[in-house]
Amino acid sequence: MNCDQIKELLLTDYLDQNLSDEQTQAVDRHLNACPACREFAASVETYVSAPLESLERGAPSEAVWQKIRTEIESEQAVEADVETAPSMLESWKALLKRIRPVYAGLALVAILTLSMVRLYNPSVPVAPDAGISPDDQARQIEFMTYLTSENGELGESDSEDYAEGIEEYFLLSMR
Amino acid sequence: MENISRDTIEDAARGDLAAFEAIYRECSGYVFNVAWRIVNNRADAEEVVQEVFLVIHRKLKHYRFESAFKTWVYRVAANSAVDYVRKSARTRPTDEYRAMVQAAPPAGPSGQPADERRIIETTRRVFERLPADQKTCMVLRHIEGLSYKEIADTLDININTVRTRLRRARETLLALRHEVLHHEL
Ligand SMILES: [Zn+2]
Repeated sequence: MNCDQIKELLLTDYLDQNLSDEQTQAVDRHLNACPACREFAASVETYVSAPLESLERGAPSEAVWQKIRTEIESEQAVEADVETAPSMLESWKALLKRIRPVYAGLALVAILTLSMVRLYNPSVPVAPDAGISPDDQARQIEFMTYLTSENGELGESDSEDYAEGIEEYFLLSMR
Repeated sequence: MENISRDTIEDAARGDLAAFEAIYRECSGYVFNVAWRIVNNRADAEEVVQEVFLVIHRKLKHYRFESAFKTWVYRVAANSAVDYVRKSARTRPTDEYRAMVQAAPPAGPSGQPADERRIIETTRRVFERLPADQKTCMVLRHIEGLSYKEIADTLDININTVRTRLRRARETLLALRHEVLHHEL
Protein backbone atom coordinates (compact mmCIF):
# COMPACT_ATOMS: atom_id res chain seq x y z
CA MET A 1 0.00 0.00 0.00
CA ASN A 2 1.29 3.47 -0.81
CA CYS A 3 0.92 6.57 1.36
CA ASP A 4 -2.26 7.79 -0.38
CA GLN A 5 -3.98 4.49 0.19
CA ILE A 6 -2.86 4.48 3.80
CA LYS A 7 -4.18 8.01 4.33
CA GLU A 8 -7.50 7.08 2.79
CA LEU A 9 -7.78 4.13 5.18
CA LEU A 10 -6.77 6.33 8.11
CA LEU A 11 -9.74 8.57 7.29
CA THR A 12 -12.19 5.73 6.77
CA ASP A 13 -12.01 2.01 7.55
CA TYR A 14 -8.99 2.17 9.85
CA LEU A 15 -10.53 4.96 11.90
CA ASP A 16 -13.88 3.18 11.99
CA GLN A 17 -12.26 -0.18 12.82
CA ASN A 18 -13.68 -1.98 9.82
CA LEU A 19 -10.40 -3.65 8.87
CA SER A 20 -9.43 -7.24 9.56
CA ASP A 21 -6.58 -7.83 12.04
CA GLU A 22 -4.31 -8.55 9.13
CA GLN A 23 -5.18 -5.30 7.33
CA THR A 24 -4.83 -3.31 10.53
CA GLN A 25 -1.38 -4.77 11.11
CA ALA A 26 -0.38 -3.86 7.55
CA VAL A 27 -1.38 -0.24 8.17
CA ASP A 28 0.45 -0.23 11.52
CA ARG A 29 3.60 -1.56 9.87
CA HIS A 30 3.44 1.26 7.34
CA LEU A 31 2.95 3.82 10.10
CA ASN A 32 5.99 2.50 11.92
CA ALA A 33 8.10 2.96 8.83
CA CYS A 34 6.64 6.21 7.46
CA PRO A 35 6.90 9.46 9.48
CA ALA A 36 4.60 11.41 7.10
CA CYS A 37 1.72 8.98 7.49
CA ARG A 38 2.39 8.75 11.22
CA GLU A 39 1.98 12.49 11.48
CA PHE A 40 -1.18 12.35 9.39
CA ALA A 41 -2.57 9.65 11.70
CA ALA A 42 -1.82 11.81 14.73
CA SER A 43 -3.67 14.76 13.14
CA VAL A 44 -6.69 12.59 12.42
CA GLU A 45 -6.73 11.49 16.04
CA THR A 46 -6.31 15.03 17.41
CA TYR A 47 -8.57 16.93 15.03
CA VAL A 48 -11.21 14.40 14.04
CA SER A 49 -11.61 11.42 16.36
CA ALA A 50 -11.03 12.98 19.76
CA PRO A 51 -13.14 16.14 19.34
CA LEU A 52 -16.06 14.24 17.83
CA GLU A 53 -16.03 11.84 20.75
CA SER A 54 -16.47 14.80 23.04
CA LEU A 55 -19.66 16.06 21.35
CA GLU A 56 -22.18 15.79 24.13
CA ARG A 57 -25.48 14.01 23.80
CA GLY A 58 -28.75 15.55 24.88
CA ALA A 59 -32.39 14.66 25.40
CA PRO A 60 -35.60 16.46 24.44
CA SER A 61 -37.47 18.23 27.22
CA GLU A 62 -40.57 16.64 28.71
CA ALA A 63 -42.76 19.24 26.99
CA VAL A 64 -42.05 17.60 23.65
CA TRP A 65 -43.81 14.39 24.63
CA GLN A 66 -46.72 16.37 26.04
CA LYS A 67 -47.16 18.15 22.70
CA ILE A 68 -46.96 14.89 20.77
CA ARG A 69 -49.51 13.27 23.07
CA THR A 70 -51.91 16.19 22.78
CA GLU A 71 -51.63 16.12 18.99
CA ILE A 72 -52.23 12.37 18.82
CA GLU A 73 -55.18 12.58 21.16
CA SER A 74 -56.82 15.27 19.08
CA GLU A 75 -56.21 13.22 15.91
CA GLN A 76 -57.79 10.21 17.58
CA ALA A 77 -60.73 12.33 18.69
CA VAL A 78 -61.36 13.45 15.12
CA GLU A 79 -61.22 9.86 13.89
CA ALA A 80 -63.69 8.83 16.59
CA ASP A 81 -66.01 11.70 15.61
CA VAL A 82 -66.00 10.59 12.02
CA GLU A 83 -66.85 7.04 13.02
CA THR A 84 -69.76 8.09 15.23
CA ALA A 85 -71.16 10.63 12.79
CA PRO A 86 -71.72 8.78 9.55
CA SER A 87 -74.87 10.72 8.82
CA MET A 88 -72.99 14.00 8.50
CA LEU A 89 -70.40 12.44 6.22
CA GLU A 90 -73.12 10.79 4.18
CA SER A 91 -74.97 14.05 3.74
CA TRP A 92 -71.81 15.72 2.44
CA LYS A 93 -71.27 12.85 0.06
CA ALA A 94 -74.83 13.10 -1.18
CA LEU A 95 -74.44 16.81 -1.74
CA LEU A 96 -71.14 16.34 -3.56
CA LYS A 97 -72.64 13.67 -5.78
CA ARG A 98 -75.17 16.22 -6.95
CA ILE A 99 -72.49 18.87 -7.50
CA ARG A 100 -70.14 16.57 -9.39
CA PRO A 101 -71.90 16.25 -12.77
CA VAL A 102 -72.31 20.02 -12.89
CA TYR A 103 -68.57 20.57 -12.65
CA ALA A 104 -67.80 17.78 -15.08
CA GLY A 105 -70.27 19.31 -17.54
CA LEU A 106 -68.87 22.80 -17.13
CA ALA A 107 -65.33 21.57 -17.70
CA LEU A 108 -66.33 19.74 -20.83
CA VAL A 109 -68.06 22.81 -22.26
CA ALA A 110 -64.98 24.89 -21.55
CA ILE A 111 -62.66 22.41 -23.23
CA LEU A 112 -64.93 22.09 -26.24
CA THR A 113 -65.23 25.84 -26.69
CA LEU A 114 -61.49 26.33 -26.43
CA SER A 115 -60.69 23.61 -28.95
CA MET A 116 -63.32 24.84 -31.39
CA VAL A 117 -61.70 28.25 -31.38
CA ARG A 118 -58.33 26.66 -32.00
CA LEU A 119 -59.55 24.25 -34.65
CA TYR A 120 -61.20 26.97 -36.69
CA ASN A 121 -58.40 29.47 -36.20
CA PRO A 122 -55.21 27.44 -36.53
CA SER A 123 -53.25 30.67 -36.74
CA VAL A 124 -54.20 31.65 -33.19
CA PRO A 125 -51.34 30.51 -31.00
CA VAL A 126 -51.95 28.69 -27.71
CA ALA A 127 -49.39 30.76 -25.92
CA PRO A 128 -47.96 34.03 -27.16
CA ASP A 129 -44.79 32.30 -28.29
CA ALA A 130 -46.09 28.96 -29.55
CA GLY A 131 -48.32 27.97 -32.45
CA ILE A 132 -50.04 24.57 -32.73
CA SER A 133 -48.35 22.07 -34.96
CA PRO A 134 -50.50 19.82 -37.20
CA ASP A 135 -49.36 16.99 -34.94
CA ASP A 136 -50.79 18.70 -31.91
CA GLN A 137 -54.01 19.30 -33.76
CA ALA A 138 -54.31 15.64 -34.66
CA ARG A 139 -53.73 14.67 -31.06
CA GLN A 140 -56.26 17.20 -29.94
CA ILE A 141 -58.90 15.86 -32.28
CA GLU A 142 -58.12 12.35 -31.08
CA PHE A 143 -58.53 13.49 -27.52
CA MET A 144 -61.81 15.24 -28.29
CA THR A 145 -63.13 12.07 -29.91
CA TYR A 146 -62.14 10.16 -26.82
CA LEU A 147 -63.80 12.74 -24.60
CA THR A 148 -67.08 12.74 -26.44
CA SER A 149 -67.29 8.97 -26.92
CA GLU A 150 -66.27 7.92 -23.42
CA ASN A 151 -66.81 11.07 -21.48
CA GLY A 152 -68.94 9.21 -18.97
CA GLU A 153 -66.05 7.10 -17.80
CA LEU A 154 -63.44 9.85 -17.98
CA GLY A 155 -65.71 12.38 -16.30
CA GLU A 156 -66.52 9.94 -13.54
CA SER A 157 -62.94 9.20 -12.55
CA ASP A 158 -61.92 12.84 -12.75
CA SER A 159 -64.74 14.06 -10.60
CA GLU A 160 -64.17 11.19 -8.18
CA ASP A 161 -60.66 12.51 -7.40
CA TYR A 162 -61.95 15.98 -7.17
CA ALA A 163 -64.77 15.04 -4.84
CA GLU A 164 -62.49 13.10 -2.53
CA GLY A 165 -60.25 16.12 -2.22
CA ILE A 166 -63.25 18.23 -1.33
CA GLU A 167 -64.50 15.68 1.19
CA GLU A 168 -61.15 15.63 2.92
CA TYR A 169 -61.14 19.37 2.92
CA PHE A 170 -64.52 19.50 4.61
CA LEU A 171 -63.52 16.84 7.11
CA LEU A 172 -60.42 18.82 8.04
CA SER A 173 -62.34 22.03 8.41
CA MET A 174 -64.84 20.29 10.70
CA ARG A 175 -62.12 19.64 13.29
CA MET B 1 -33.97 0.33 21.13
CA GLU B 2 -33.84 -3.41 20.71
CA ASN B 3 -35.93 -3.44 23.90
CA ILE B 4 -39.03 -2.58 21.91
CA SER B 5 -41.02 -5.74 21.34
CA ARG B 6 -43.07 -6.51 18.29
CA ASP B 7 -46.12 -6.54 20.57
CA THR B 8 -45.42 -2.99 21.68
CA ILE B 9 -45.13 -1.85 18.08
CA GLU B 10 -48.34 -3.61 17.11
CA ASP B 11 -50.21 -2.24 20.13
CA ALA B 12 -49.03 1.25 19.30
CA ALA B 13 -50.09 0.78 15.68
CA ARG B 14 -53.58 -0.07 16.93
CA GLY B 15 -53.73 3.23 18.77
CA ASP B 16 -52.53 2.23 22.27
CA LEU B 17 -51.01 5.47 23.51
CA ALA B 18 -49.16 3.85 26.42
CA ALA B 19 -47.40 1.53 23.97
CA PHE B 20 -46.52 4.50 21.79
CA GLU B 21 -45.14 6.34 24.79
CA ALA B 22 -42.91 3.33 25.51
CA ILE B 23 -41.54 3.65 21.98
CA TYR B 24 -41.04 7.37 22.47
CA ARG B 25 -39.16 6.83 25.75
CA GLU B 26 -36.88 4.35 24.07
CA CYS B 27 -36.17 6.25 20.84
CA SER B 28 -36.57 9.95 21.51
CA GLY B 29 -33.01 10.34 22.82
CA TYR B 30 -31.30 9.29 19.65
CA VAL B 31 -33.87 10.96 17.41
CA PHE B 32 -33.11 14.16 19.30
CA ASN B 33 -29.35 13.75 18.98
CA VAL B 34 -29.47 13.00 15.28
CA ALA B 35 -31.73 16.02 14.78
CA TRP B 36 -29.71 18.28 17.07
CA ARG B 37 -26.44 17.74 15.22
CA ILE B 38 -28.12 18.20 11.86
CA VAL B 39 -30.21 21.29 12.63
CA ASN B 40 -27.64 22.73 15.07
CA ASN B 41 -29.87 23.96 17.86
CA ARG B 42 -31.97 22.40 20.58
CA ALA B 43 -35.25 24.22 19.94
CA ASP B 44 -35.33 23.22 16.28
CA ALA B 45 -34.22 19.71 17.21
CA GLU B 46 -37.21 19.42 19.55
CA GLU B 47 -39.51 20.47 16.73
CA VAL B 48 -38.00 17.80 14.55
CA VAL B 49 -38.50 15.22 17.32
CA GLN B 50 -42.14 16.18 17.51
CA GLU B 51 -42.57 15.91 13.76
CA VAL B 52 -40.72 12.58 13.60
CA PHE B 53 -42.91 10.94 16.24
CA LEU B 54 -46.10 12.20 14.67
CA VAL B 55 -44.94 10.75 11.35
CA ILE B 56 -44.02 7.48 13.06
CA HIS B 57 -47.38 7.36 14.77
CA ARG B 58 -49.23 7.81 11.49
CA LYS B 59 -47.06 5.35 9.57
CA LEU B 60 -46.90 2.69 12.25
CA LYS B 61 -49.90 0.87 10.77
CA HIS B 62 -47.94 0.43 7.56
CA TYR B 63 -44.70 -0.71 9.17
CA ARG B 64 -44.16 -4.29 7.98
CA PHE B 65 -41.13 -5.38 10.04
CA GLU B 66 -39.10 -5.70 6.84
CA SER B 67 -36.33 -3.41 8.02
CA ALA B 68 -35.19 -3.17 11.61
CA PHE B 69 -37.42 -0.80 13.55
CA LYS B 70 -34.34 1.14 14.62
CA THR B 71 -33.24 1.63 11.01
CA TRP B 72 -36.71 2.82 10.08
CA VAL B 73 -36.81 5.35 12.93
CA TYR B 74 -33.31 6.63 12.10
CA ARG B 75 -34.41 7.07 8.51
CA VAL B 76 -37.46 9.11 9.43
CA ALA B 77 -35.35 11.17 11.83
CA ALA B 78 -32.53 11.88 9.38
CA ASN B 79 -34.91 12.73 6.54
CA SER B 80 -37.02 15.02 8.70
CA ALA B 81 -33.98 16.84 10.06
CA VAL B 82 -32.45 17.37 6.63
CA ASP B 83 -35.81 18.55 5.26
CA TYR B 84 -36.15 20.89 8.20
CA VAL B 85 -32.79 22.48 7.46
CA ARG B 86 -33.65 22.85 3.77
CA LYS B 87 -37.02 24.43 4.48
CA SER B 88 -36.07 26.79 7.27
CA ALA B 89 -34.08 29.80 6.24
CA ARG B 90 -32.10 29.64 9.45
CA THR B 91 -34.18 31.90 11.63
CA ARG B 92 -32.68 30.86 14.93
CA PRO B 93 -29.08 31.26 15.96
CA THR B 94 -27.19 28.02 16.34
CA ASP B 95 -26.12 26.80 19.77
CA GLU B 96 -22.56 27.40 18.67
CA TYR B 97 -23.36 31.03 17.90
CA ARG B 98 -25.08 31.48 21.24
CA ALA B 99 -22.08 29.96 22.98
CA MET B 100 -19.81 32.37 21.15
CA VAL B 101 -21.66 35.52 22.08
CA GLN B 102 -21.70 34.53 25.73
CA ALA B 103 -18.64 35.53 27.66
CA ALA B 104 -15.84 33.06 27.20
CA PRO B 105 -15.74 30.65 30.12
CA PRO B 106 -12.85 31.48 32.45
CA ALA B 107 -11.62 27.93 32.54
CA GLY B 108 -12.59 24.60 31.05
CA PRO B 109 -13.40 21.48 33.01
CA SER B 110 -10.51 20.78 35.32
CA GLY B 111 -7.66 19.00 33.65
CA GLN B 112 -8.78 19.90 30.13
CA PRO B 113 -6.08 22.00 28.51
CA ALA B 114 -7.13 25.18 26.72
CA ASP B 115 -5.80 23.83 23.41
CA GLU B 116 -8.03 20.84 23.65
CA ARG B 117 -11.08 23.00 24.27
CA ARG B 118 -10.17 25.15 21.31
CA ILE B 119 -9.89 22.14 19.08
CA ILE B 120 -13.25 20.84 20.24
CA GLU B 121 -14.91 24.20 19.59
CA THR B 122 -13.31 24.48 16.17
CA THR B 123 -14.36 20.98 15.22
CA ARG B 124 -17.89 21.69 16.31
CA ARG B 125 -18.07 24.82 14.18
CA VAL B 126 -16.67 23.16 11.11
CA PHE B 127 -18.95 20.22 11.73
CA GLU B 128 -22.02 22.46 11.74
CA ARG B 129 -21.13 23.75 8.32
CA LEU B 130 -20.65 20.42 6.61
CA PRO B 131 -23.03 19.63 3.74
CA ALA B 132 -26.17 17.93 5.08
CA ASP B 133 -25.52 14.57 3.42
CA GLN B 134 -22.01 14.35 4.87
CA LYS B 135 -23.14 15.58 8.25
CA THR B 136 -25.90 13.00 8.43
CA CYS B 137 -23.40 10.20 7.83
CA MET B 138 -21.06 11.70 10.42
CA VAL B 139 -23.82 11.95 13.02
CA LEU B 140 -24.94 8.37 12.51
CA ARG B 141 -21.33 7.18 12.68
CA HIS B 142 -19.86 9.34 15.44
CA ILE B 143 -22.82 10.18 17.63
CA GLU B 144 -24.88 7.03 17.19
CA GLY B 145 -22.08 4.57 16.46
CA LEU B 146 -23.77 2.94 13.45
CA SER B 147 -21.74 0.73 11.13
CA TYR B 148 -21.29 1.61 7.45
CA LYS B 149 -23.88 -1.05 6.59
CA GLU B 150 -26.40 0.37 9.05
CA ILE B 151 -25.84 3.90 7.75
CA ALA B 152 -26.24 2.66 4.18
CA ASP B 153 -29.54 0.92 5.07
CA THR B 154 -30.82 3.93 6.97
CA LEU B 155 -30.13 6.42 4.20
CA ASP B 156 -30.79 3.98 1.37
CA ILE B 157 -27.38 4.58 -0.21
CA ASN B 158 -24.55 2.16 -0.85
CA ILE B 159 -21.65 1.52 1.49
CA ASN B 160 -19.12 3.17 -0.80
CA THR B 161 -21.15 6.35 -0.74
CA VAL B 162 -21.13 6.21 3.05
CA ARG B 163 -17.36 5.79 3.03
CA THR B 164 -16.89 8.67 0.57
CA ARG B 165 -19.08 11.06 2.54
CA LEU B 166 -17.29 10.25 5.79
CA ARG B 167 -13.91 10.71 4.13
CA ARG B 168 -14.89 14.08 2.63
CA ALA B 169 -16.29 15.33 5.93
CA ARG B 170 -13.14 14.27 7.79
CA GLU B 171 -10.90 15.83 5.16
CA THR B 172 -12.81 19.07 5.66
CA LEU B 173 -12.30 18.92 9.41
CA LEU B 174 -8.59 18.33 8.86
CA ALA B 175 -8.20 20.97 6.17
CA LEU B 176 -9.97 23.76 7.99
CA ARG B 177 -8.29 23.27 11.33
CA HIS B 178 -5.24 25.43 10.57
CA GLU B 179 -7.25 28.29 9.21
CA VAL B 180 -9.79 28.35 11.99
CA LEU B 181 -7.30 27.78 14.77
CA HIS B 182 -5.02 30.56 13.62
CA HIS B 183 -7.39 33.20 12.33
CA GLU B 184 -10.77 32.94 13.96
CA LEU B 185 -10.08 32.07 17.56
ZN1 LIG C 1 3.25 6.71 4.24
